[in-house]
Amino acid sequence: MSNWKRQLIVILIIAWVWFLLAESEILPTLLFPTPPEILYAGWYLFAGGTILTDIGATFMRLFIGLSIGSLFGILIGLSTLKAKGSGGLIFWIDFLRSIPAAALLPIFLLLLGLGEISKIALVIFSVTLIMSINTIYGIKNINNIRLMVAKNLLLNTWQAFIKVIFPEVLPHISSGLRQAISFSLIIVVVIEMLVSTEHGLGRRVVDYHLTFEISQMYAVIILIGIIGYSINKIYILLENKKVHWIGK
Amino acid sequence: MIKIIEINKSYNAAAILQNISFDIPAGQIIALFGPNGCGKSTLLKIIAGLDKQDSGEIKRIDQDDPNELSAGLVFQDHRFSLLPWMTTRQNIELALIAKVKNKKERGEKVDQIIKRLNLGRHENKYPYQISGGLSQLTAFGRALALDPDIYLFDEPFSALDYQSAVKLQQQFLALWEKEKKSTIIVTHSIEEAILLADQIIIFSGLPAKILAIIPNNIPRPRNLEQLGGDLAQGIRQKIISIAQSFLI
Repeated sequence: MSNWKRQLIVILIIAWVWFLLAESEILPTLLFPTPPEILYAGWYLFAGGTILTDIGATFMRLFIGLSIGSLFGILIGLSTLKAKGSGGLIFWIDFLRSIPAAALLPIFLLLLGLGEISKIALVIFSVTLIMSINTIYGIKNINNIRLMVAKNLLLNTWQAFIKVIFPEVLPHISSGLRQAISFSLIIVVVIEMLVSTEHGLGRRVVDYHLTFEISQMYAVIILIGIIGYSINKIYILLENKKVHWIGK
Repeated sequence: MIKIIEINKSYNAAAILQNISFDIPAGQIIALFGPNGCGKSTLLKIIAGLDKQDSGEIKRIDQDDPNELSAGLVFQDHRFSLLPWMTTRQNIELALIAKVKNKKERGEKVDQIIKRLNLGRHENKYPYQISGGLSQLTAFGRALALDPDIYLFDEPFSALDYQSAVKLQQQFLALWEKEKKSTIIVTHSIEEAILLADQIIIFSGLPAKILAIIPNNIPRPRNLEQLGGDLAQGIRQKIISIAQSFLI
């Protein structure tokens, strides 16, 4: 808890220095509203209610993209089980992964149109790549002794998969999911900023930027930060509980 | 009685095992003693059906049952052989999943084994929450649950500190006295071989050949004090004189 308090103190100091710099007009007030102004703008966003719709829209894209992408990625990864994680697939995944996802956006827009589908499809695509490479990596790292144990205990293929192989790969799948969560939040916000859409946190940042409502813009950016941080923390808590044997 | 007859094995044209033949009379403990990496573990894997010999056979004499030999393996490193996503209880139960379909019956069998091994206080703990000695005892429990024709132990005490190893050896001997099941144990320790085995088979370096089979007639039940007696001293000297080629 003391660590938590220390972080809070650091945040307060940064806010205080910012406040002094903005208030004394060393920083241009137009570009750097004071922390109370940002807080007020944030409060106003929630009081107005529209920001909830934006949060909902962003979450929906994130959630659908992550779920479908993870499912695809894990299945593709597991398809290499027989080959013990080797094969030509890795080259293609690595190659596609090397292209920044945002650069692929035009292709998705051309193929799938400007609607919701192309946005979510890009998230699914990116998550699939991350999850499949991590699953394959997990399969490559399956401990040989554990396979011998499964065989020695006369488990059939399905029992061996459920009781031994899948849990053995799970830490890698889980770490893939952690990467995928952070990454897909970035992708969703970037798409929302680049492609016309009614709702979404990325859209709000752009809108407030264009209408020069700088306090609101900061408020939304900080909100995105808080959301990203919270999702990550919640995920790590879940991971520690469900995949408790990691690193032990 | 189980007969090992002229087993040969090579990997990538390098001979590992050369004409390995010996008998395992019912209810005896056989120790395999020899330098590191000389193929003793490979031999265990072949007997367990986890690896295939190039030539030679493993035969069961005075057994009507034509089925394959069933073997209960205990590996050196419990950190890999036990599954860290399962509790002590679940790890033992895993050995019964293939054989006992009825869940209640299976639970009762696990109860019996946990009681026999005195693991009751630890049954719901995960492997990383208990000591190395208790982990290896759990691994023994799993082999016990399998109720195989033969136990195959691959240096089961060598990953433990001296005290835990001695304690576990006593526990194993006490268990073994009750069921007198044929056992092969790979060991690097002369003392361990003298304490446990009825016959000590000395292997040469690669390609592994049998240098000698030394009978050990120290009366059972055995205890640590007997290791200081004349009988033990005689066996010790025999082993050392034969094993000189790789000890020095």
